[in-house]
Amino acid sequence: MSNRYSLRYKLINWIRLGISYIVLAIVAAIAVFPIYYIIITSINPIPTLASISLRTLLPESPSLEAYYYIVFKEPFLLWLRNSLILATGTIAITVVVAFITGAALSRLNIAGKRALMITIYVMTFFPFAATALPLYLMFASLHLLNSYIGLILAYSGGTAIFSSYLVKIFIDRIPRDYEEAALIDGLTRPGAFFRVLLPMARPIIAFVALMAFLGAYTDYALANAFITSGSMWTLTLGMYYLAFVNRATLYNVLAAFSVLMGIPIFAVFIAFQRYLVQIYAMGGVKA
Amino acid sequence: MDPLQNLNRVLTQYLYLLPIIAIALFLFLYPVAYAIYISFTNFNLYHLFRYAFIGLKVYEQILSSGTFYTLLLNTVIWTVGSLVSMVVVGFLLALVLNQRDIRGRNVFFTLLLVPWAFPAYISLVIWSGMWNYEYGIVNKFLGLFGVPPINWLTFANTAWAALILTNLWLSFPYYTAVFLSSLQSIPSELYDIATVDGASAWQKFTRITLPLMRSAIAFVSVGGFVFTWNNFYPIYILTGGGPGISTDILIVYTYQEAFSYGYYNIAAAYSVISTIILAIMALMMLRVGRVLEVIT
Amino acid sequence: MRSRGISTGAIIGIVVAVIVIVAVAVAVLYMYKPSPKPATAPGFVIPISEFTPQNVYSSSFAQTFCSKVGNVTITVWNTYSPSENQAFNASLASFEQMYPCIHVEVTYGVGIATSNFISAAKAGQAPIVYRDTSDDAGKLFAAGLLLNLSEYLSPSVFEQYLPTARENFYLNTTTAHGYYGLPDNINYIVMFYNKQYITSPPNTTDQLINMCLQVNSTYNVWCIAYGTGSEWGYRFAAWFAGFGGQIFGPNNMPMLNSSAMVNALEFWYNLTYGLHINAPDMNPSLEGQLFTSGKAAIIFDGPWDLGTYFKALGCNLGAAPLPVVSQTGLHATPLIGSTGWVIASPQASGATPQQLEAALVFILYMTGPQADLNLWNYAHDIPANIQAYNQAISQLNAGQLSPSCLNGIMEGIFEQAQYGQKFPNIPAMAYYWPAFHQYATAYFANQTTAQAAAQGMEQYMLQQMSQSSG
Repeated sequence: MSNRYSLRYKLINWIRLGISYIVLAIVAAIAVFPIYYIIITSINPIPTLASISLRTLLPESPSLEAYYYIVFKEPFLLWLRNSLILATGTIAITVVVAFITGAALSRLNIAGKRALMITIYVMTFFPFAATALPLYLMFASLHLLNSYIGLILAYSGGTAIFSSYLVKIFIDRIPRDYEEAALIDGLTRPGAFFRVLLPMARPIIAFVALMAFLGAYTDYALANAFITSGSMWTLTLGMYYLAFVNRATLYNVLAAFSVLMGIPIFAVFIAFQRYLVQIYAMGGVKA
Repeated sequence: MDPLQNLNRVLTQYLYLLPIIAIALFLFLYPVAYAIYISFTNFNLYHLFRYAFIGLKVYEQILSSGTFYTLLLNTVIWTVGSLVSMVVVGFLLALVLNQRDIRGRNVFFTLLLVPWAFPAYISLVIWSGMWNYEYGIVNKFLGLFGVPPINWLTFANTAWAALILTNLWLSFPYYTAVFLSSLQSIPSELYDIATVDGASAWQKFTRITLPLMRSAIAFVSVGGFVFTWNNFYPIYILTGGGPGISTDILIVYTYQEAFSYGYYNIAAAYSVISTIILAIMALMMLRVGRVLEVIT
Repeated sequence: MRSRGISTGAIIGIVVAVIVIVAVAVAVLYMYKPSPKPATAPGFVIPISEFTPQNVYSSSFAQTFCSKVGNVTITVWNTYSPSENQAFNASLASFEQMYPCIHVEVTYGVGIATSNFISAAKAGQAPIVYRDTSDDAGKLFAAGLLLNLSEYLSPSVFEQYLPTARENFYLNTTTAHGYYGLPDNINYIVMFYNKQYITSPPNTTDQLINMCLQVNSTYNVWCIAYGTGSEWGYRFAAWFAGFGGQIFGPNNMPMLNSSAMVNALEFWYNLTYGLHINAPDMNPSLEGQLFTSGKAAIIFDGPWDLGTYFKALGCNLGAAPLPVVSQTGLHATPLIGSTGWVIASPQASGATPQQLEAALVFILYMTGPQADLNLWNYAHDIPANIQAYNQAISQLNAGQLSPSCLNGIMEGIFEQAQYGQKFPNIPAMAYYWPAFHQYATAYFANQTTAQAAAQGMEQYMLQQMSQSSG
């Protein structure tokens, strides 16, 4: 009797596991495929989208000439520099604001904070299309348009609010004992924040920095509305131009561009995926 | 406590909130107030310097045109379609990955993260080439199974399918990660006790798993709803709202009204209406999911 | 405290919110005081009659100008392509040599017809000089953002440009009338073809269809790569006219709802989905890729992409006018537009009278015979300045272009100019594009019939026109 039971049990398990592995394999393949597609396209001789076929998914006389072309013949490095400047500025402001706000919201018993945060959060629902012009006018009157600062401020605004909230719920889970001890030892409240809390909040700060970087690095719409001069174009503006406006762009060159623009971020995500999983799962778990 | 000391304490505390309040003021409240103001005027390209207050005329125009309702319906289809598929797929994958005897879980999980790790803007440019009728790789794959090529982005129904599938590809890792983490935090003793009590797999699922996951599902659903409602790029890059306006959603249309035609007042009015609808729906969802208690 | 109903926390929250709202209201009101009215008198030191292309190129005028006006800086937004910029930079260098007192701040790489111009104008920070298409600039002129050049230049100046080109920059509506720009080229689409597949270009659409069926079956490439399913109506206007239609009728009312539109739409639907000689699901980028890689035999494009196509196909490239529509016997006449230089109104740019004088000198110089000829020599733009145009024609006739097959190509391009239609530049033209795009894409997606599409387009335009006049 126990033999038959365990056999049936083993069979069901075997089927369940088999289906699970098949599902996971298929999903993993679909997940990875477009990235593989773009990498292989960038090293194969594929001048146009029309040259793509199932056969071109395998390497055939691979070469790096597309990369050479995009880096040296198109203003890729200029665009990269602009994107990095904007992104770094955004990270700086967002991290500082998010940490201070998040720590304060978590640790200080501020009256009306819930109402304040909810109101501010609801304000971010407003579509950027209508707020772009007033922002432009405000920066114009402050003469910030021809520099990077205008866009940096606009990007920081976008990410700071959600980031503050993330920092808050992360810090909520850090026990207060450490700061209490520091305060008893004579540290001031801000000192406690920066000397005690900040080092412990490193994971969330890293995450906020990453989100701020992404927000600035992958934005097209605001950059289009604020940037006029070709010498201030970002990577996203350059990509849109090469992909949809310019008729002379080779498809493998566009693919090389995509790879160069995307792989660094991709690498960071994969390297820190443990941290990331912890963090974006935070909100979903009951305290 | 001494009221003066109290006031002092409150002011010091608000000092910490000064940066975020300044940001909210200048970068959100001011533009939103400006936009609301001009939605009651005839401010557009032809009335750029001298414009007049015209009251609710713009709103009347919008609400009485068929365009608005088409856009609203499209936005709902886009948001609900994306969200439901993402939550379901994310949840199923989390269940699969959570099984105790899965080997190489980390490898699979890392691979699954790829779509989320690669910047969405670039992925969309790649996908727009993959959905092409004649040369896209999707049709070439389908051709292997004998399926005739589909003109994905040119016809409305298939365009919706392509849009939602692309959006699903872009975001399902996030939902999988949240749900997996949430599942893993359910103590296994609960399941063991249930097994001893003779519960079936289905009963374990509906009586233990689902209720404990409710807050996670609600939380990401609300966040996802708000994000997808205002998600500009997939539709802008893949179909541009076409054919006609059958895949145009509120935010893409608003962008076109403002930047292509210079109708800033109409764009502002659409934004106001969209925000009000979104806020109401988000609030309803928050109430139902009782998420507010979790976050504050 | 809670039993009282409102906690202190909520009170403080409300107080803060009120303070915040008051602060913002004050800020909004402060930033939006009405902008000051521009000075009515020009305040020029040089008489208007002296602003002519001949004077601008003479060194004695330049010296007088600099001594009277002194040092001045003008901002310029440059929208040229890289090859055109070679010409521009050469002209700019000689300009700066001749006018050392005028400092030109050029912003390169500006997108043409960018909406940033409008935002900048609203902020009072528009560039003083801008290069734009005639129809987009028409919109800006009607909105009061551009200087009315008729008030600053004598009529004889405008006679120096080709009639089509100068008319493109002339607007006559109730709100604005006059010349609002100086053209530096005329542009229109032609039929580029690959001589490998098409030995002699078709004259009529029937010939086109027959040739295409042959090309498809013999060489297994697409005959035509023309993305009708995603069109905004710029190229389609030629076919619309070929079937007997016109975008605007008397009184500048739209006339899209006509059998001509229905026939034109159905014609291209047939070519794409019926006869399969036109590639479906195209966008401009993909069309170009197919044509340059020899996977499409015909593309409808303008001379601005000549460089790209010539580099790819070499002497296999051919150019010819669009064919005659067999059903009507009419030529398919493309929109003949112009691109040119405009000056922002002082309200938009905050320019002083001296800066306006310098701007006038600049645009006269850049559209003068020498600068325009530079554009022809470096980028093969069709000149709008009559003198430069004639020189270009004589170069062609003498076969002076190198390589020599380029002569034949340019002749084909010039031939199209005889069969073109005026590019409407009234503000209502801005509604033509979205109207056409929305309903044509719906038609090609089988969502509506051609008749309903034509009707829908016209209604859309009428609706937008009535909205904007309100």
